[in-house]
Amino acid sequence: MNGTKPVILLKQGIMIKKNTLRIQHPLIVFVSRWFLGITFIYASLCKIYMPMQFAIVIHNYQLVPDTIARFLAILFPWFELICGILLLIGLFVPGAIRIIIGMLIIFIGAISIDLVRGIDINCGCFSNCFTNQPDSQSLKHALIMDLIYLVFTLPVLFFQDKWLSIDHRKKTKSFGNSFV
Amino acid sequence: MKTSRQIFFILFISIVLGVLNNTLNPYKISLTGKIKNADHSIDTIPLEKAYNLFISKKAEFVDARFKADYMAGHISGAINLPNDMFDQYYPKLADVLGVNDTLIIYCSGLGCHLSVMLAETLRDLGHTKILLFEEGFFEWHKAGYPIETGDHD
Repeated sequence: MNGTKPVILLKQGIMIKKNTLRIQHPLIVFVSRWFLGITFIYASLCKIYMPMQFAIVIHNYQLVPDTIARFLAILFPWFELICGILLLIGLFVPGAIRIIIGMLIIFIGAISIDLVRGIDINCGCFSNCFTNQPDSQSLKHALIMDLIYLVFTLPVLFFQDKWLSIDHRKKTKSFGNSFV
Repeated sequence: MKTSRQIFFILFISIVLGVLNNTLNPYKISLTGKIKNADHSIDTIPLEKAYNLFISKKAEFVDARFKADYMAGHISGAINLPNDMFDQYYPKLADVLGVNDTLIIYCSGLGCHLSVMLAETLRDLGHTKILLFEEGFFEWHKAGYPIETGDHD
């Protein structure tokens, strides 16, 4: 059970073992998982619809050649979307959360480098093609937000909740529902 | 499934869908070529020059954004010609937008595509003097240049 032993009492969804970290609380894991899922799905949609906009955003960071920027613009939003959906439905969560952490580390690294270099650009993290408003989020703000998202990944990375989770269903089925 | 296999599976599916989307998407991008702030062949005009033309009234500003965004705030005197309602709006504006008039097309700002699409459409319709104001309303507003809200008469 991904590090959480069955001996830990699951009473009304609350683990009550001594010295239990609060982030183990299934509600916190569930909320974190859904928060990240919705955020990443939302962030991906306009990038998928208008990949050139996102390619320009990557280009403006001045960190990778244009060909790589184009590749990233085509692929990155799909990583975001697929991982977001998987987090929402609770399928392949360990894999999805690790990819999300990887992406966040890349975003944080890219933003940090540009902040140090003094490049003044908008983040482009949530370009909105529905209203066509520019993403005016500054790099500093984006960096803080990415660090917050990173914090939200921790409960999902280390613990598992059982609500609306296909992973949990599969696991309980394979163990004959012994933990539920 | 092992975590490493999950990661591989997710990456594989994402790559397949990404490539597929880029093949079918009307806004697909090529994998080669230099990236400019927009992939287009329209002449651009920087903020200061756009402002000079605004002051001298030698150009007509055309806002390519959606109606609601235009109503919320636009460059003073700009005409709204939203892409999604082009067929309804353009015939009414035919008198104002002469084919030899200088038209400055803008949308929200860098990276927005609406102005490019509108500029290309107008060029295809025979308009000869089209300039793309890429910084768009965002930078115009930031610079403190004149704006207005609501409809323009």
